[in-house]
Amino acid sequence: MKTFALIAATIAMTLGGCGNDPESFASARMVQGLVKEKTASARGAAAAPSPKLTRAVLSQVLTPVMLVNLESRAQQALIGQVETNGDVETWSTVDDVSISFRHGVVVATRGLGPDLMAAAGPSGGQLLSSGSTFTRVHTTLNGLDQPIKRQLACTTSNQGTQTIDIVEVAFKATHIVETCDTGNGSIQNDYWIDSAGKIRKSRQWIGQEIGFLVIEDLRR
Amino acid sequence: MTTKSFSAWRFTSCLMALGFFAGIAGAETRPTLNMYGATGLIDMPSGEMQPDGMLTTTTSHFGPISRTTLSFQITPRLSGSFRFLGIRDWNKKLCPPDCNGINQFKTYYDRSFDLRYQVLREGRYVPSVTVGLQDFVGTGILASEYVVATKHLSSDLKISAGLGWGPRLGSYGSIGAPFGTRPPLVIGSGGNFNVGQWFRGPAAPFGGLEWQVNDNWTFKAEYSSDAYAEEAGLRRTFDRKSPFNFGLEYQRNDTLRVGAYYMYGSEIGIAAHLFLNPKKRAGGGIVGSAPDPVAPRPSRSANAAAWGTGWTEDADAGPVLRANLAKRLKDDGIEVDSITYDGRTAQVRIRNARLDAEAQAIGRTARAMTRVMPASIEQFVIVPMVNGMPVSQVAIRRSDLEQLEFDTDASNKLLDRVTIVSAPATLNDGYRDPEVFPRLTWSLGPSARLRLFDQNAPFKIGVGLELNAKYEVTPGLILSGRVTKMLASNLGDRPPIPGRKLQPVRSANYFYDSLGDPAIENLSLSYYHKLGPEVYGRVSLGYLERMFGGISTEVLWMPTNRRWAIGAEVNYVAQRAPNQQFGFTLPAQMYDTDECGDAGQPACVSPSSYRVLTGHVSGYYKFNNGFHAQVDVGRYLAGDVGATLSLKREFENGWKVGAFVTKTNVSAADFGSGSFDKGITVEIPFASILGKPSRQTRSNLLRPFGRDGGQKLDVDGRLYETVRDYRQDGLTEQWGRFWK
Repeated sequence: MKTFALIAATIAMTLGGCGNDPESFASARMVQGLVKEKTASARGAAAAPSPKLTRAVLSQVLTPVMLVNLESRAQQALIGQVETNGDVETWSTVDDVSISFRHGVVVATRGLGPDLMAAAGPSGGQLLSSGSTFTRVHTTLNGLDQPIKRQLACTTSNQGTQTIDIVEVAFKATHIVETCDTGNGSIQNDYWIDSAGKIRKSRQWIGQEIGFLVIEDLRR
Repeated sequence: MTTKSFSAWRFTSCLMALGFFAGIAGAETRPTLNMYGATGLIDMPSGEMQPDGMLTTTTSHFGPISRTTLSFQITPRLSGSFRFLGIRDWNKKLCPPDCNGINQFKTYYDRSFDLRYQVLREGRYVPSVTVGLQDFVGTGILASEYVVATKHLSSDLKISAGLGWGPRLGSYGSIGAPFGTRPPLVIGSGGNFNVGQWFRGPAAPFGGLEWQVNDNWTFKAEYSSDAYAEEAGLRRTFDRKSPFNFGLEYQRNDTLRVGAYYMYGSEIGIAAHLFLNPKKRAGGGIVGSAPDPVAPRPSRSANAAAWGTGWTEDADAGPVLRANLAKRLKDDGIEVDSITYDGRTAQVRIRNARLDAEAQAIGRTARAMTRVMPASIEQFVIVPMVNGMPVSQVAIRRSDLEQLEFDTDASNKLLDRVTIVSAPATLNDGYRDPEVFPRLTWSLGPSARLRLFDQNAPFKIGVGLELNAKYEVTPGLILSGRVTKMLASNLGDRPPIPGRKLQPVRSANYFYDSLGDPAIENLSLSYYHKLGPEVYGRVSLGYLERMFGGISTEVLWMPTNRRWAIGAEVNYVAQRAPNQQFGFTLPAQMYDTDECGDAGQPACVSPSSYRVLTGHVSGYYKFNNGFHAQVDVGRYLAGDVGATLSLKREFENGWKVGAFVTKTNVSAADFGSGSFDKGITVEIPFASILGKPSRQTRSNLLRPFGRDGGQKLDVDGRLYETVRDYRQDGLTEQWGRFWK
């Protein structure tokens, strides 16, 4: 009984903590965070799917946006452009998850945890010419925060023209498939590129832990 | 018996030969742990090792025997364990009539250390071979030495066979004594290395099979060479009917493994194993908000006006730039103390309160500066401050940031281009926010106190609340205090307190635990000051720790870009009253032991105050293979003179696992149980476990015997650990995080 009381008290204590020192009792706050996360995901599973995004809703969004879907976590968010450095554009969600693109190909993520620190992907020309082969480079951090550079051998293939639907608007696009050997199985990236050479929609592999991001360009 | 063992050997070698012919090799299975918490079968070890750096905890129970073991894979080939053992019904059959000495205990508790070295790694034809020393220092109740080989027969089946010596592994089915007779054990006060006994006396073979049925389930069967002469024979705490053990284990995930066993033909056993890999993070990476992206400057030709330096004439520039930068870095827990600039260079002084990787704090500051600083500023100089002291200064070219942001080699390329040098002792303050000092931070939250291995129980715990407060008067002058109040506790249960020869500088801890509630854990004023570019100083005054108060002074010489540092510390302290209020008067009660103080016993020697001059000269060295050594030579709290050697394996992400020994001029007999002070330290960064940025760590210190010889003052804020994270080697060990 005494043991039980001790355990109960320990748990109760772990959930408490206050003060103006942001760094003390990080552990207590972390536990709280974990508990919330668990309950939130349990609730999320039961809750109704989020309201469908429509062009009517989008018309109220003033800045250009893209829709990102993180498949492994079943999360989706709108991103807006925040910076351009050379040929790389960085887009961000309102809660500070950012994705950087070079000509529509993801070259970095931040705020997702096991982030893609940097990548060298195919150029626009390489994507469009079916059968081209190239080496992708993905840099990530290991558990000791040392950068790990992984080389992926990739080839592209043109799957022909398809009509895709992006939030009530139909686009005619060329479906390009990029297949890469990760050294631990192969992954496949899909790109739908319109006649102007712009990637309208893509499904891109970020890494082992994060999995795939689906990105739809909502600009018209 | 010999014949039987011989045939077991034949069987083993035959199976191995089969394996060779089949041409199957390679370690496809997990290396699992046995009930001793060593890599192995059920009660027997194997020739395998855990992955480098793996930290495991095993708790196992069968019949009257419980063992809890902490093991660490020190290097790829060397592993070590610390174990706490309990044997119930210890005196049931012997007391009465004989209740003296070791027979006084209902449950016998003991601690033991193991070391194992892998001589051969498994290859296509050769098995892995490990030589082990079990309970090699101490009372030796678990003492044994062994050589064991393990070979995969197929991708999911492996076989182990070994030869053991000593009262455990050499006690059943012996084949003779190949290296002569075993000399008797000299226990003394324990803590001796029983070198003369190693690999002497009867040797007995053992072995077994491990079949990994699938990723989750493993079946194990073994032949044990442990007769359990003491537990099953002499004391009849359980019935050992057979040398064969069988077990089924379930791997729930990478962290948890559980097993159930049928032991020695009569008992059911259970075990749980916890695997922590310091090299891997829960969830794969630290989750934190994205940084500000680098803001490239407009080209000079396109916007010449933006590159002008006229802004430096503006008196408001300093306050505005500092405030803008501070706003951008606030969410990262980085504070901007001050800023100085000319037209081309901006220097900022920051304090990193949250980010576990110091490089990330530098990286975030640098990127925020690209968004705040006028285009003419090409050179960023970032000076991380600790307790008011500038440690290093990191100089980064802004154009390198612009150029390398999305480079797949960004981390290495940038590191080649930055310069990290020691910051000068005095800096031009520049513009400093008058609001920053003085400032008060405080927190109220949970608190726990543990008392380990006190002979009555493996551990006792008290949980309650603690109030922390820190008042920074000016940079480097800090008043801090901590008060605790227990809400639920069994720390008041009096353990056996053996007699002692020294002032109870630590061994009266039971009285501090039971009388000090609420307790002022510490209340002191500290002043930190950088005395030279490579020299740091500290003075602390007040109630420095729960058992001592007084004055503590320290100087540290830490040369830039070197692997070593030298420090010296001198303290003059008085022992605090166990109630941990403001007094230094020691009550006679706190000197009570099992040999004096109680009715019918002689009175204890009980001086009503105790003062001591204590201090050390310390040398620190960081090896380039992740090991760190510290040597302290000096005078300890009980007035004894000697030296401490601490060796740690340090991981880049902040995990530290180490061991220390202290030998002073106190004889083994005067020291008491354990003969000399020694222990294990495990430091776990919260960031690594919880996957979110935090500079907090949890330090755990395990001392098998808490006595009074070789004890140091436990003052907060010693210089080396305070500043070393910001020296060049500390800043760069997680340099990959610069860009996160």
